[in-house]
Amino acid sequence: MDNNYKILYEDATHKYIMFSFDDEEQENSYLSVNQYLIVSHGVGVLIDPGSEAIFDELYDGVSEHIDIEKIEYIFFSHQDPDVAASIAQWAVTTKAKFIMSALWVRFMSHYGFTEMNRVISLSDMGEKVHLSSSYLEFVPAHFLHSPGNFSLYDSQSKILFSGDIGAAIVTSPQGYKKVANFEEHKEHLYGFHKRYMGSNKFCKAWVTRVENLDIATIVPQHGLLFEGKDVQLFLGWLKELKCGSDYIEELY
Amino acid sequence: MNTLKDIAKKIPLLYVEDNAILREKVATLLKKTFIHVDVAVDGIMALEIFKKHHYPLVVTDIGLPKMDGMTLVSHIKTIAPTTKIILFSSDDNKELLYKGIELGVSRFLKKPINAKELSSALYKAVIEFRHEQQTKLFYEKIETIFHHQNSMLVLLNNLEVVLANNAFLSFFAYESVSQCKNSMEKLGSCFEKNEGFLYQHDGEDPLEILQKNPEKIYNVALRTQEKQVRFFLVQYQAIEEKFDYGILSFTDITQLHSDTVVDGKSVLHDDKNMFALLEVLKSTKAKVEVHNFYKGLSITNNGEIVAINEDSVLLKTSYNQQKAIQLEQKVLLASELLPLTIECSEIIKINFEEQTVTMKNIHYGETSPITRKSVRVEPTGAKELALFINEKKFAGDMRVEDISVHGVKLRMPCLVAGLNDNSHVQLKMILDVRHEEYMIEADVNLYRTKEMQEYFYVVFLFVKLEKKNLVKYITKRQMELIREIKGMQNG
Repeated sequence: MDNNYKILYEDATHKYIMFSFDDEEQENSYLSVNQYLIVSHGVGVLIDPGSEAIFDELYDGVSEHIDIEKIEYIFFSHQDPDVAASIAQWAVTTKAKFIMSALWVRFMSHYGFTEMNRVISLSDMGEKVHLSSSYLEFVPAHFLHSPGNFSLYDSQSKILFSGDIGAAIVTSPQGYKKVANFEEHKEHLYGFHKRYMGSNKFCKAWVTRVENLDIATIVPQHGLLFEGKDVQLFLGWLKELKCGSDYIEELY
Repeated sequence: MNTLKDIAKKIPLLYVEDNAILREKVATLLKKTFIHVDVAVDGIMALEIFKKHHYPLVVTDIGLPKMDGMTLVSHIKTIAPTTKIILFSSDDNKELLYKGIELGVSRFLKKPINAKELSSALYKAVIEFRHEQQTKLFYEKIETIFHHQNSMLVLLNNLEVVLANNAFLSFFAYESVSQCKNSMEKLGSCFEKNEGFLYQHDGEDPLEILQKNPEKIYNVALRTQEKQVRFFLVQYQAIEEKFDYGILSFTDITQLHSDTVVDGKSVLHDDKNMFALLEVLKSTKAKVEVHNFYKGLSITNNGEIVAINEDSVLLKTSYNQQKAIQLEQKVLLASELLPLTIECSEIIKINFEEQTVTMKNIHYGETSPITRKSVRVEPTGAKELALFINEKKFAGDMRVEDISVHGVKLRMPCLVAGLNDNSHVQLKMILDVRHEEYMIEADVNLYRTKEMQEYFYVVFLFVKLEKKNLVKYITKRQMELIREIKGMQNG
């Protein structure tokens, strides 16, 4: 991990970069956040660029890998501030189109965004977008945790960006942020997923959908990455997880 | 058995068995599920009854007096090929089995009769029968609807053409659906390559794109059998509960399109063409982009043309956009189907309850501010503003009209002598928003000038600039403007 970024995949035409910019004023009170950038054949796709507080740093970080003008798409997995609150800043500085669930388009003006013609809204069943020789698939992940929520699969790098799914409350390690021991990591996953995820039914539906994809790495918006055998261990764990409405008696 | 009863009770059934004890036993069992059960004791009797009632379901023994079961099956299948037949046999005679398959027997059951096996066989036969009936009904219904439509329609199954209506067939001079299917089997690959149109490229089937975007209308070009290119608007509509099926509707706009393309300039004053296109947008319920500006800030939402009366248009759009229209007292409409942006400069009525706006004075705009590539805002006024041309400070009064991360538009009382494309120009200003000041320093290039009655507009593009402060200023100012609009909306 150099200069707050790590290249997760790279070939002659395709690159997948992870950034880890946190709002320093808030670092004691919230989860560490990851942002991602795909550069494919010179075109940039920015993923969950986050809050206004980290805009400057992320802008500089992204500029090291691609001319900002060449960012054509900015994807928001859902509507939360740590995902989308910088939409106005990115609207000012890029010509990009913004991809998000149709559910959240109208709420974006609360973040200072008014150009709805720059939004590509995703219907509930998701979308597949073809790049030159590969594709990006917006995979439904509704109620995990947001009601209008998507993961993003990149077929070239075989990386699945899972948003809040797989998020863990952990002290951010120095160096590469990947899970070292899944068995030990489960306890860090559990608290967050139990309270933030909709129900086991949604977990199962999502796992069933992504099981058909050839996944090398799962990269969440918060916490650590799942690589190699940990991908299947995590999917297996999530499939059986009781969460959200499965514990309704604890909430009402 | 309950489930079978639910789906099968109204289906008439013929049961054929010569063994009286067995016949009595099985008939009693069948009558618990089926309301109409008729019984025959030999092949001849069964055939006679069948000829009168054409049962959809027949259960018969293979060894029957007067006419054996297999001959009976053969006669029944000739009379009514869709009848489902369950055949009982006491041995494993493979030859008979093959013959039965050839004749279209649905299920073979070995004697002695097992109630569970019989129920399962009946269930499967009934499901098959109902499915065939529904499919038949569906096709009949579709075909009736299809051929009575004036629009050109094509029915797709798994994105392959299965049916085209009379309007489509006659437009392309096809004599039959099969001729059309042979010629346009892969319809997506028939879409001609054309800039801004939908056609096959980068391995994507245009029909898949249509299917994924059922609300969107696309331009496509198709060749007739005489090789003439015609232009259409096309839209996909899924059929409820029939996920593999969908309907493509085609609207011929060749005339409108050629008017626009042949002479791009003349279209500016062609109101007839413009209203014809608005009619197309209305009839296809296509979404239009509705644009307004508030102090430089672009406000856009989708809208729909719901009515056109002589020289006025009724637009339906969101509440926020209605408020923006109310503030600006004009509106811009854009669509991929329009050659230019349409400007409506007279707002007659805004109905917030029905979310509609009535507009007049409608014409094509010569320039289209909606193609702006970056967000612009009008500042409240710069606290300091200095311009250095070839290191000499310009002394006149100036103000910032609008600013983006790419450039700035200044209002100046006169043009500065010696200012040209090669001038070395520096700009320094302090902009403030919500009591915070932002210092902007940049090297700029002259982009264009425009002479107004008493002043000039001069646009400079940033060449060297520390972007951070400017981005912060623009986003904060943008937020302030949104608050202003919302304040006015609530007030």
